Amino acid sequence: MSSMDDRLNAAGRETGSAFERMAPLAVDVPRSWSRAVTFAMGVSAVVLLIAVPAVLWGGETVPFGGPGGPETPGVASTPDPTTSTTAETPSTTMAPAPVLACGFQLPFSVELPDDFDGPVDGASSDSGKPLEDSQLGVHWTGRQGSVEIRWPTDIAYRGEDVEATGTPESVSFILIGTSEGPQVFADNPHGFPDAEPGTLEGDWAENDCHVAQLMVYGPEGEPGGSVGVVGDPQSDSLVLRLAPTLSRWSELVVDSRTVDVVPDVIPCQGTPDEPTLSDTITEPIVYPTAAEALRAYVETRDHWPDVGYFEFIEPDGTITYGRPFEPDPMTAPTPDDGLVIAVSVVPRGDGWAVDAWESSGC
Amino acid sequence: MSVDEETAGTSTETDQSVPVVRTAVTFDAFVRQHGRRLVGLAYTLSGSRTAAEDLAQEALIAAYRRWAEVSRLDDPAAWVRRVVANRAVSHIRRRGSEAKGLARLASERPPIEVPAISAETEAIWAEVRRLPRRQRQVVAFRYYDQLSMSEIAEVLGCSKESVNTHLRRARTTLARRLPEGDLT
Repeated sequence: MSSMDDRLNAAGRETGSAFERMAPLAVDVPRSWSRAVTFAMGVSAVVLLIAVPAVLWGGETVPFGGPGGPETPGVASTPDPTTSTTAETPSTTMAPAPVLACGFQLPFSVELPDDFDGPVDGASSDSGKPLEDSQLGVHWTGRQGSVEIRWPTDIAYRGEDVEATGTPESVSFILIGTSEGPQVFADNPHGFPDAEPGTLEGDWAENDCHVAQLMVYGPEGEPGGSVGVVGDPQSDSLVLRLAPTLSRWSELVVDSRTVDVVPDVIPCQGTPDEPTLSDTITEPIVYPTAAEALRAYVETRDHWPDVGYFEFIEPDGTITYGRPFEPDPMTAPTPDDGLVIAVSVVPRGDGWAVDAWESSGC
Repeated sequence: MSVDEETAGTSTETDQSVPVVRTAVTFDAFVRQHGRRLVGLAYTLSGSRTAAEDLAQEALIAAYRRWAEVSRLDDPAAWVRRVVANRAVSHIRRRGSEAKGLARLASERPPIEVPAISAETEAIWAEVRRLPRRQRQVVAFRYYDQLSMSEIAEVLGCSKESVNTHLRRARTTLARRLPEGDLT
């Protein structure tokens, strides 16, 4: 009998040799990138920096990415002194103009509900993080919180390995431009009742400036605390749905109820045959209260939300905390639709400890 | 524009602080060497013949955009593999690539012909694609790309222990879901 290792090896070898026999791949490099790369390699980076504002300072919204554009803004900010020529340097008799890597206007429009004031230049005070010198930043502020866009993204999000960060409540994501239009980098199927839609759409460039970073903050400045986002990858627009009040989602435990049976954890949406994930805790840590045990445990789990759990108290005293499935972004979630996370907490010694968990595994 | 028409990334620069003089490989040579295997990697992870070529194309174009930097990496292929692996397991991006692939079906340039693979191997990859994201990537790197644990750890930016753990869990799950003689 062959082991799984042997079978996988055989599958890998067969697949590898099959694709090796395939016709050679021809890469269709977009013409503008081809020119930009060639140009960037042959010419000093300082030239790239200067060419951009020359086009954009007129105030017109210009999709960025032509042959004069910076292929890598971070590189462009450290010009090679041996090739910095006076012919390319702004006149010293004029006040030096700020140089923004991607331009002075976003290449897309943003519409938010009327009670959002903006756009205002600069970073949102909620972000607590200043803009880089070469970064365009604008923000809007309303009673529901603030929305901030940075272009290009913070350095941490640049490159091809960008990942959205934060939990569904801590909305912190990347928009990425494609030939089909902007797409939300992170699938975030959240939205809230009575929300007012906003839209974001526009043309996208073909270099690092094709990625903008959008951050949302709640009324208390908490990341994404009161804002949900729905991205429709099938369309060219992103819809922002801003909830009038979502204080419930700022709490670890949002509701408590006594039940005979805890609702089931359901498989990932769209993959009904996908098994859920579960495990028991072999070395439980005891906390004074069940909620404290829950809080400590979710903090150890990547990508688990740290708010929005329902408490279910069973007849034997077991407490299960469940995070509800949210089938419809426009409808308030309810545990009756099933759970995506369940954490069982049991009495242990003088306190409570997490005993087991189950998740949809999405 | 095909890279056959234009060469990018040639460099003869030397770094005085580094004793070994490295010459960056040209982009078209890189594509000739790795392109087909990247399509295969995209296929094993995405399961979409339609999207596989576009996923590889997108990763190679991403490399082309910053070829001056990527070509000087110790292992440029590792960088591109990671891009393919990340894109192939991203639901949104996979759908986008499928859409582009379908659009291409109606265009002038014909799609590549993805080679035939045995039913058993197809079934194994289908189960691999049901694994959690990281396990999927580790299995594809280990068995399709034949990378060592250290190489996988480097590509994914994690520890060898983490790679081992993912691989062990993946094999356990696959052995349970794929009993011998039960492949269709």
